[in-house]
Amino acid sequence: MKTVPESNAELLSVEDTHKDIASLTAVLERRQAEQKAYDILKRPSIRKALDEIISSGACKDEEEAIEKALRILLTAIR
Amino acid sequence: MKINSRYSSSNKIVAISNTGPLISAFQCSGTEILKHYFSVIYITVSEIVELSKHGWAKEIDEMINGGLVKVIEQLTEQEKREAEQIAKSIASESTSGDPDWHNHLPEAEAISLMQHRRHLMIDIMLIDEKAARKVAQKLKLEFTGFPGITGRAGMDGLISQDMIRQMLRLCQKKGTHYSDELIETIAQTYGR
Repeated sequence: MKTVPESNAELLSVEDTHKDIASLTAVLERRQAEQKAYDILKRPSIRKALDEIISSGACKDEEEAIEKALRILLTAIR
Repeated sequence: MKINSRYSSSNKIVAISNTGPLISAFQCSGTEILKHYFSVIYITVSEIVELSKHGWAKEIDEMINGGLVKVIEQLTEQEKREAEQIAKSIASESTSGDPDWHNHLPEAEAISLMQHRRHLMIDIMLIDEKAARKVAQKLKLEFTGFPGITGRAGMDGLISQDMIRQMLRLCQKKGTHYSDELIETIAQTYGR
């Protein structure tokens, strides 16, 4: 006989489920973004560029280097 | 149920689950959806005991053998102590249908492990029981339930509106308390 535990417990409302879908979506999107970032950062040419930028003292870490690079690119294309 | 997976294994996420969402997946033969989104689903030994007690031993064994579900065999003393406190909090919630905290240990252990086992990189907890979700929310943990997973699968076009309806109705028919309103709203809002 197959049953469910705590069959008298209150279960989900419609509102709970809308929030659940938003949470799951956010987690899936974060995972995809992390994977994308990882794929880019593991490229030897990108690694080399980042190492060079950081060792020159122009940026203190990878985050700063990426942010600055994007800002410079944005300024260049505007 | 066959679905086309568009996620590569590196884009899948890691979950820790309570028994409810797994039972729902078993009830409606919806485990393929879980395989689509999750690379690993952790459970504890007490959850296996609970699943077996309710007649789902064969199904959970298949999922363990298939590699999607992994069992966390043992909790540390600290994790056990914390799980006990969490179980007591769940039992004292007004939405809990069972005032005996011992019966809330499986979900409490999952909550405790999600907080302590950072190296497992658990992204989200799968939990349908309202009282346990309230406690997880207070601890700022990410969670979702089985209807939420079917809704997301509907958004992704993996299952149709009618399929969402059929799956959740099957769960309902087999004893899971999903309301008619919930089923219809999820099917209409997220299904195509």
